[in-house]
Amino acid sequence: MKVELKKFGTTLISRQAGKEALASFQPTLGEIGASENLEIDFSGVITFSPSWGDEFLVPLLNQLGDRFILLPTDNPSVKVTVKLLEKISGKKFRTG
Amino acid sequence: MHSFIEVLHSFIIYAISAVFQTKLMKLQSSLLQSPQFSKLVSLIVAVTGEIGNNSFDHNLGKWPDVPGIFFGYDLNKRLIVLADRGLGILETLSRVRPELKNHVEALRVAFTEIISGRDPERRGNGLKFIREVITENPMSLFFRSGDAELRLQEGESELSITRAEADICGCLAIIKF
Repeated sequence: MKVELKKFGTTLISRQAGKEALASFQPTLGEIGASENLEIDFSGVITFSPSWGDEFLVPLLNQLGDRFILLPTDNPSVKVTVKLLEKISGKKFRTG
Repeated sequence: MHSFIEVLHSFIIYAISAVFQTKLMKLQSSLLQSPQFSKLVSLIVAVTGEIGNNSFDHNLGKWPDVPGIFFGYDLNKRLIVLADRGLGILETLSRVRPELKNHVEALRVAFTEIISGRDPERRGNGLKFIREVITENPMSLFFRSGDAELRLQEGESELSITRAEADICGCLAIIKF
């Protein structure tokens, strides 16, 4: 399954918004098959921050592990955020 | 009279986080309209958002006097200013790092160590993100909390933190790009 993050907004910044996005995504998450991958597509996102990412990406990484994949992006705010989140969580994101 | 009104308009305090988010979106739209900022837009907005949201996240229900933040910018001067009259970095971090002795130590920890003033929620790591962004891009940051002043700019791996003569309540951030 591929998730376009722009559907949650193009400016993904606050912790509160990240929490709300994860909560609204939970029903969809339940539809994923036991061996199915979840791919995150950052295209269309303008600004991304560690606060939002910590509330949305990290719980999904903890839940899905290697089945959670971040698709490539040139967005510098995504790149720096992902690097920091890996440092904070002590886990590596799988990239597609 | 005209200049007085200009000054008045530039001193707007946003007491509600949602209002700050809206004004931040407006900053992003303005930056996107200027081709010279195209490579930095996402980073400028993310840094500004992290600083502004920190003010709300760490002071919620604990504002000593005036709740909310000041947020102003002038794209012609390539300048963004944020300020709050919150608890400040030292008091916030002292809850999880009681050994911190002064504002200078607190600021150094905040910008270098993965630590949170609201453990176990892992909050407060935005300042490490800000340091990474500023030092690797044509930007600079002046950050003050209490009597500690931090200056950061592109290419500087070491933090420059000095002690000011006077103490201020909360935090002040000036971003240049």
